[in-house]
Amino acid sequence: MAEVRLDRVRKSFGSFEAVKGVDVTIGDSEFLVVVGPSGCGKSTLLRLIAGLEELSGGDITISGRLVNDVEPKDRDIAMVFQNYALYPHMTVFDNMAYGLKIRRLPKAEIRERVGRAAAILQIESLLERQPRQLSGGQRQRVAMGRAIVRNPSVFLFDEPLSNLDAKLRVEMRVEIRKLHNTLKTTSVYVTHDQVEAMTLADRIVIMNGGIAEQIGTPLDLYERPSSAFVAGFIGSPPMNLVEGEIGQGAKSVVLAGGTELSLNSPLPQGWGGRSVTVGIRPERLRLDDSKADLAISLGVELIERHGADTVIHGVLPNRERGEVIVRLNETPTIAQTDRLNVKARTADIHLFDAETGKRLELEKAA
Amino acid sequence: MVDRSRTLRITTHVLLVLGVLVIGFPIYYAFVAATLPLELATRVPMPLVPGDHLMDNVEQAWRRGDLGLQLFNSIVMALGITAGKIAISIISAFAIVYFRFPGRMLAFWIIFVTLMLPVEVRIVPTYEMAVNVFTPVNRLLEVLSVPVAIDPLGYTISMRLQWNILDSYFGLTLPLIASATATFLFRQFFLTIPDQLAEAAKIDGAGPLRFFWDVLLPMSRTNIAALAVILFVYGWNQYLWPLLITTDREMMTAVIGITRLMPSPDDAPEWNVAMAGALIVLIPPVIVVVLLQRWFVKGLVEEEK
Ligand SMILES: Nc1ncnc2c1ncn2[C@@H]1O[C@H](COP(=O)(O)OP(=O)(O)O)[C@@H](O)[C@H]1O
Ligand SMILES: [Mg+2]
Repeated sequence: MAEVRLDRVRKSFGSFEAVKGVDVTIGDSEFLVVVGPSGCGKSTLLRLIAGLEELSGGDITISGRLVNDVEPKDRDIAMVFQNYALYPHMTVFDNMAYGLKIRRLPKAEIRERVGRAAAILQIESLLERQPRQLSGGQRQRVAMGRAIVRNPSVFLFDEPLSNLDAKLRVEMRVEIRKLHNTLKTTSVYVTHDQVEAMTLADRIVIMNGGIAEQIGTPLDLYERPSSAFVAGFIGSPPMNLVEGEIGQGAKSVVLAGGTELSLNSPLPQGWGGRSVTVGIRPERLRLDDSKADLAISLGVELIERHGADTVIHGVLPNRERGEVIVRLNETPTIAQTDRLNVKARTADIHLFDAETGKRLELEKAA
Repeated sequence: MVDRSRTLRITTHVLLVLGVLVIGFPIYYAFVAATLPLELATRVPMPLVPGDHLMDNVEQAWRRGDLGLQLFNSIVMALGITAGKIAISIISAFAIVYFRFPGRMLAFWIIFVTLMLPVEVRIVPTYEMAVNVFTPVNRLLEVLSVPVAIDPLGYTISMRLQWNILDSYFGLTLPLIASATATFLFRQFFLTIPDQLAEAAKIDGAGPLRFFWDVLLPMSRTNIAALAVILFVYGWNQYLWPLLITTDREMMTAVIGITRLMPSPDDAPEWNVAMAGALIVLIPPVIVVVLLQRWFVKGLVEEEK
């Protein structure tokens, strides 16, 4: 029912263009996460959907209704802010009930709705308290409660977990997703944290400098990043990106520093000599792999043993800054000074144009 | 270290006690004078221990100075000034902080500049305005020489508007209620409130007035209380302006009233009665300060988070 459609949405502040034409349709009951580095225009995009900013161009449709000139209160949305934005002088109950009171709902219904939301969020015992008597996590729950009681068609979240400590953030993340599975309200969630994005999202929009770089499911973004920017943003540790060149004859890729990876399927002839960025995920580099067809030799700089896995910071030969990170889910016995020979598969290699950063399709080429 | 902090403590205490004595002694002396019979009050030096004529003197002062009516007038004026200043300044600050309109900064700076124009500086034009509130309108009409109507016979009928507020509560309060200081304080306070609060209210469906009434006003409670104390005392202590515009005894304020209790050279030097009057006039602002001082300190020390 509640589908949100953004059509060439643009927003300028003076001569500065913060959002440069974003097209995305958020399906009914979908949980869409907008992720990107600070200042890329995520919040602006969300505020445009909320109606807190005026569009400079394009259209926004909610449930089939064009809302370009509709007031926030009439868009049937609710928003959760990073700093909670609770009314400091009102009790938790009044904070949650305020919007309903303005809508002149009968007292009994207000009480029932607030009660139900409080039960879902487990804040029933806090209803008579004032915001300043609550912890950060409790305040965030109240802020979500205020959104839920309105029973809107769309939830908008602007970095709701950024002010919480790491542990609480993980807990609340799980709760938000569970809540979504229960309520199934169409949601747009803004964050700069790619882990949050990957765990919460049905689909992700990854933004960079006001543009939507890629839109897709978390696995899409992980497996087939459409640009070097996306590749470097998603995953932890993020994808290794090394400068390189396609070898003469287009049968191999030469990494900066001289390591040559011969590909078992040749690239288009015209690509010979082209500058590229070569990407491979840290977890796709292995010590032993019977199906591997590529080998890379690394100098070891640092070993982090996390218990469940081991992260090795390596460096390509003849390079000061050609860092390659390897993530192993085993605990090998290697010393800091060792050389390390890692294996990889051609299928796990990503190639991006060195200039545009756009993905070069290996499969199509083959 | 211990020694040093101890000397420091003793020094500060001595200084504080001295300060209290310097400020408190004249008040005590006035109180003593108010308790003495005429003979003792005029003896030099005056005794430092209170006598037993307090009630006599108070009664004399009350009757002769007509203090009942004047205290009432003073209270009306002080409350009017307090309420007016707070109402006007909080609304101005609301407009300046939360609305984007052409000339917003200009409006703010004009208000700010009036800080330099207290009543004493603008007393002549203000008096002229009090004589006739429409003076500027009339001047404008004259300058533009707008004929209101032209008679067929050729007479020009010109218009003059007239509204005199001398000797009225209106005149006592209205010219004093614009306050740049209070506007500035509220503006600073509103600027500390995160924008998201206004946005949350907008999404909740609250219009600007509703947001003002339901959110901003209650959040400003401590600031309002603190200002109310300062402004009440300010209003109560007004001297020059009421002196200028009240001629009717019925409209005189207490601060002016007590000057009439001061003995003139020809009378018996009844300083005991004058001091009793001064003490009476001192009481209302003291009550206000005592009642609101908890809020006052809170409003100055901590901003509500
Ligand atoms: N009201 C505004 N006026 C001017 N510039 C703004 C305004 N709001 C945001 N910007 C600019 O737009 C860009 C995107 O901001 P924002 O959407 O808040 O980024 P983020 O992705 O960190 O949420 C930033 O460069 C910011 O400085
Ligand atoms: Mg932001």
